[in-house]
Amino acid sequence: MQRFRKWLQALEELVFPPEEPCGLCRERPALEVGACRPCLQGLNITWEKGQVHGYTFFSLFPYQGLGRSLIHSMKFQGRLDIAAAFGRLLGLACREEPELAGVDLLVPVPLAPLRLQERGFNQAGVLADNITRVWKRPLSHQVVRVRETRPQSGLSLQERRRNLRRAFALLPGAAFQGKSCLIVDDVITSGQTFYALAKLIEQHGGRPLGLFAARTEAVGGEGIAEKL
Amino acid sequence: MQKFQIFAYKSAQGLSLGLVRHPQHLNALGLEVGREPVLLTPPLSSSQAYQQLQLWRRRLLGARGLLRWHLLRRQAFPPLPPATGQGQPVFELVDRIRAVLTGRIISEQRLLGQLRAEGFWPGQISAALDAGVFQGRIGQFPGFTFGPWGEYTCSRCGSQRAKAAPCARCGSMECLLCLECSSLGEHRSCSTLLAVPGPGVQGQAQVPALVLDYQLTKAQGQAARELVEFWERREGRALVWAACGAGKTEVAFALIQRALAEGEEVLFAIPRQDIVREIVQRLRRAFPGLEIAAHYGGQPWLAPGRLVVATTHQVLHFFQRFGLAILDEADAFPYQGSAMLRYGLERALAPRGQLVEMTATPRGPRPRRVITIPARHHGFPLPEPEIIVDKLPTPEELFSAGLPWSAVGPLQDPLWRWLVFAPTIAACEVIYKVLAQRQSRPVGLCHSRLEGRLGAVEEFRQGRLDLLVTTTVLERGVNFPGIGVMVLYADHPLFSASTLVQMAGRVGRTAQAPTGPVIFVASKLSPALREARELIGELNRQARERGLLKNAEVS
Repeated sequence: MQRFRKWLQALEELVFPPEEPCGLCRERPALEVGACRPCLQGLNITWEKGQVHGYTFFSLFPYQGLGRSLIHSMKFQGRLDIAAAFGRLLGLACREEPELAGVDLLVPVPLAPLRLQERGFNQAGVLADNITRVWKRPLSHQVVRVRETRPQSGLSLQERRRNLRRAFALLPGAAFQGKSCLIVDDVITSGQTFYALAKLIEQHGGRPLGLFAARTEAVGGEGIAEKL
Repeated sequence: MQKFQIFAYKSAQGLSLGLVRHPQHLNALGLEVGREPVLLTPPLSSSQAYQQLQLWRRRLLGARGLLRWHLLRRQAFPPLPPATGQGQPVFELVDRIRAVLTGRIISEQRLLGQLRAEGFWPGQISAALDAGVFQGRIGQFPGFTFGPWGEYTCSRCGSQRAKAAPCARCGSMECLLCLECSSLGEHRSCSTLLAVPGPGVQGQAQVPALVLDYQLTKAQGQAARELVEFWERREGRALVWAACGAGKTEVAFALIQRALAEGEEVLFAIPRQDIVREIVQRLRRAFPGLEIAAHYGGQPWLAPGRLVVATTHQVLHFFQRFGLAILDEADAFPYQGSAMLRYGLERALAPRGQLVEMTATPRGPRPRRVITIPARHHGFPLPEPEIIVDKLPTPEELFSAGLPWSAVGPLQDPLWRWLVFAPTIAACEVIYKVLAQRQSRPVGLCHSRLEGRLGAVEEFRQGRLDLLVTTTVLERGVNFPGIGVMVLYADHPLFSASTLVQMAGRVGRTAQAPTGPVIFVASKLSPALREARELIGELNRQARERGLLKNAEVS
C-alpha cells in the first residue's frame, strides 16, 4: 500500500509538476521571475543606469550582502544554478527596458584561458546564455583574451588599467559594424574591463552598451580599488 | 480580520475561481445545481489569498488544468444547510452595503462597525459580502498587492513604504504594515478593502442657487468664465494660478454650480482642517439649501451631500465618485510632492472626472489649460521682492555679531510694521533676542513650539507690536493690514519658491494698504529666490498686459 501511494504521488508529480522553486535559495516557491520574494528583497533589486567614460551600462542590484555572497558562490563554488537564476532576472529586466530594445548582439566578457581552465566555466558566458532564454538575442563569442591577465581584484585603478592593456582582440571575421552590442558580465567595479571592451567594439564600428548583475557603490570612482 | 478560502467551479465560460470567507457561504452564492464548487485552499489572509488566486489561475489553465479539475471534483464541496440569516435577507443586506459603500473605499473593519451598529450580525454581513463580491456588485481588494518582482503596493494609499511585523490578527510573523497611511489607522497586508464606484451622473439633479453677496473682480470674473468653458470642453485637467490674496476660491463657485446642475458630485479638497471648516461656511452661504458634507479627522464618515469638502487625507476614502474635484492650495504641505495624496485624488475621480488645481505657486509640468488671476481685488500689483545679498552671521554667531545694517536699517523705518521670517525655531529665537535688545520698537515672537503664540499674533494685528519674528508657521492664512515682510536667511534650503511667494504675499492684501516693502536677505541668490522673483514678476506682467491694474504706474 505504501509503495502504491509512492507510485501514485510520483505519477501525480509527473502530470502536475510542483511549482518551480526559487532559483537562488531552492527552498521557497518562486514568483513569476524565477526567484522568491525574500531573496529578491535580500538582493535589493534596483535596476540602474550608469556610465563609465561615456559608455552606458545597466545593472540589477548592488554588490553587497546576499547579492555579493551569491556571486561568490556562483564563481568560486561553481553554482551554475545561481547563474541561471541571475540570467533569467537580467533577461526579464532587459525585456522591460526600452533603451535596450535595439540591441543586436550579446557579448559576454571572455575569461583568460588559464582562468577558464581553472574554473571550468565562464560566468559571463553562462549569464548571457541564460539571458537569451527569456530575451531572444544572438550571442557573439568573437571577442577573446589574447594574453593572460592577473585577477583585477586587489589591484589599484592604475594597475587595473595597465593589466587590461591589449588584453582583448576580435577573431578574424568578427562583424560588429553598425551593431548595438551588449557587453555582459557578473560584476562591475572600477569599470575598466567594460571600458576596454567597449572601446574595442567601438573601434570596430559597433555601438557598445553594458549589462551587469551587480554594481559596486561608486562604479569607476578613483578610490574604488582601495574599498574592495 | 477575515480569512479567505479559494474555490473553483465550472461555469458556462469554463473554469472560474472565487473567494469565500466561510464554506457555508457557498450556498448563498446562487450557483446552479450541478456546478458544485471545490474548495482549493485552507483559510488564508487577504493578500495571501489573492496571491494564491493568481497561482491557481495558472494551475487550472489548458488541458492539464482540466485534468486537474476532474481529479479535484472528486473532493467537491457537499452542500451544507444554509446558515441562519442567509437566503433572501442576504441580498437585501448586499443592497444596504452598497448604499453605505457607494463612492467610497473603506476597510472591512470600518464597514463591520457601521453595520453592527445598525443591528446586523457579523455572520450575516460576511455572507452578504461574499455574495456581493461574487456577483460583482461590491469591489474587494487585498491590503497589499504584489508585483511579479515581489514588489508590494499598499491598496489604500499606493505607497511602497511598509515594514514586515508580527500581526496579532492574522498570526503571521511577517505581516506588512503600511508606514505611509498609518495616520488614517493601521493598514496591513491582512486587511481587506471594500469599494463600490460612485453613483455616476444623477440626471434629475436640482440646480442649486448661487448667492454671492459681493461682486467678483474683473480678473475673477474672467477666470470663472474660463473655468466653465474648461468644464464644457471636457479638457480633463486645469490649473488656476492666482496671486496671493486674489480670491481664487470664489472663482470656482460658478463651476461647482454647473457641475452640480449636470448631476455630478463635486469634491473640494484642502490641506488643512481649519480651512475646511471655513470653506464649508462660505459654501453654505453661497449655496443656501444645498447639503454639504465636511470630511476631516473626527467627523462622521457617512456625512451625506453631493458637494463634499474634505482634507486631502480624507480623499483616500473615496472611490471613483466625483465628476469634478477642486484641489485648493495644491502647493501647500502635505499635498505638495506627496504621491500618496495624488493617488487618492486620482482614485476619487470618476472615470471621466475633471480636476482643477488651485495654487499661488505652480510647480512641475503644467496642464494645457492654465487660468491665471494675476491681480488682487484692489487693482495694485503684487509687491515685488527686493533681494539683498549680504553675508549674514550664522545663528550661533548672531547674538554676538548682530544683524548687518542692510537688514536692521529697513526695520527702523517707522512707516512700516514688519513680519520678520527666519528658517528655523532656533534662528527665530536668536533673532528675537537680538532685535528685542537692540531695537527701540516693541518686538514679538511666534513659532510652533511657543504656547502663547496666538497672543503675539493678536498683539501684532492690533498694532501693539511693531516687529513680529516668526517661522513659516505664519506663511499663509494670515492677514495683517499695513505691514512689510523681511525674510532672513532667504537662501536657506527650507525656503522653497512657493514658501517665499507665500511670505511675500502677506503684504498689501487690503484696499487701505495695497502696497508694502518685501525684502529677502540672503548670502547668495539661490534658485528658489530667483524662481520666486520670476513667479511674482510674471503675474504682474500678465496683470499689466490684461489691463487689470488700476494704477499701473505704481509698479
